[in-house]
Amino acid sequence: MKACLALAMFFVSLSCAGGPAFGADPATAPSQAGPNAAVGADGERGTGEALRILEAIQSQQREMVQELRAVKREIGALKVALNEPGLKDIVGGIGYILGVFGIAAYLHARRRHSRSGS
Amino acid sequence: MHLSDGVLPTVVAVGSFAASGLCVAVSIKKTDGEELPKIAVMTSAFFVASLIHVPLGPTSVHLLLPGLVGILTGWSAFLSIFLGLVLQSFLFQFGGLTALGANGLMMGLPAWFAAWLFRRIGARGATGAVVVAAVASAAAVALAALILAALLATGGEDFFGVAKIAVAAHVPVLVVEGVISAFVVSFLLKVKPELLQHPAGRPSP
Repeated sequence: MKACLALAMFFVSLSCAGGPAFGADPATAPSQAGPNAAVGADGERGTGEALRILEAIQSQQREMVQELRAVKREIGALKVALNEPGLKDIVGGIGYILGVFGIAAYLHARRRHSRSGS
Repeated sequence: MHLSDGVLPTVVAVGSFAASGLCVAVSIKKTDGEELPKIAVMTSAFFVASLIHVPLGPTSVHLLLPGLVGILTGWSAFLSIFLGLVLQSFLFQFGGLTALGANGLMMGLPAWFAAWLFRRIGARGATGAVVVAAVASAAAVALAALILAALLATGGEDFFGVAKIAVAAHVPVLVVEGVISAFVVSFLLKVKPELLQHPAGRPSP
């Protein structure tokens, strides 16, 4: 924390020292075109780089959107597949049917048996 | 061709439950105990048949088999189909529970119709029986579509519009079921013709 404060103080003092130096010497004013141009070129280079980065980000985003769409489609297909009855349901249902009719057949046979027995 | 929950007005749903219950009672009353194994097998066939999909353009429709069940089980067909529908509703989520009565009527009455048609004019010759079985099965599917339209009409839909769509959508099923029934009946006539006949002492439907 203290180190940060010291660093900040140092920068402030630097800018204070630099500010009057530029303003105080009028002779240096024309020569400032040079460094300014350099700064402009630097800026252009920076802008170009920014554009490149932006493009990269955008293409990446496009890819992500496509992938996301694929994933969503897969989730939808999965949901449909989950709702579809599987082998367990089929075999279970047939088991129920045979069981119910088995009980009915048993009752029928028992009734017939008791009737013929009496 | 299954109705879902909440499609029909409550009165119609309750009414169709009552009608279905009556039909099931009649069906049980007319069922011969000796025929239970055959009915069980046909119920299983009906239960599984709805999983066989017939591709139709972008969508698909599944087999229904009310005609074949009717031809083979006669009066017991309603019981068989109702039990199959109950299990389909529970296990496959086909059709809603509250619409079970309506679905039972929609599949069961065509089955009885097919049984009646087959028993009435199908018992003449072998070729005749096969042709009549095919026609009866196809007619049963068409009748089911019409009953569907009639049920939906009670909910405020246009009867002829729905009927047209439902019948048109089931033309492939109609054809496939006619062919399947013809094959099954011709096979049974060769192998076990007594399956197609009535046990003695029972009035034919």
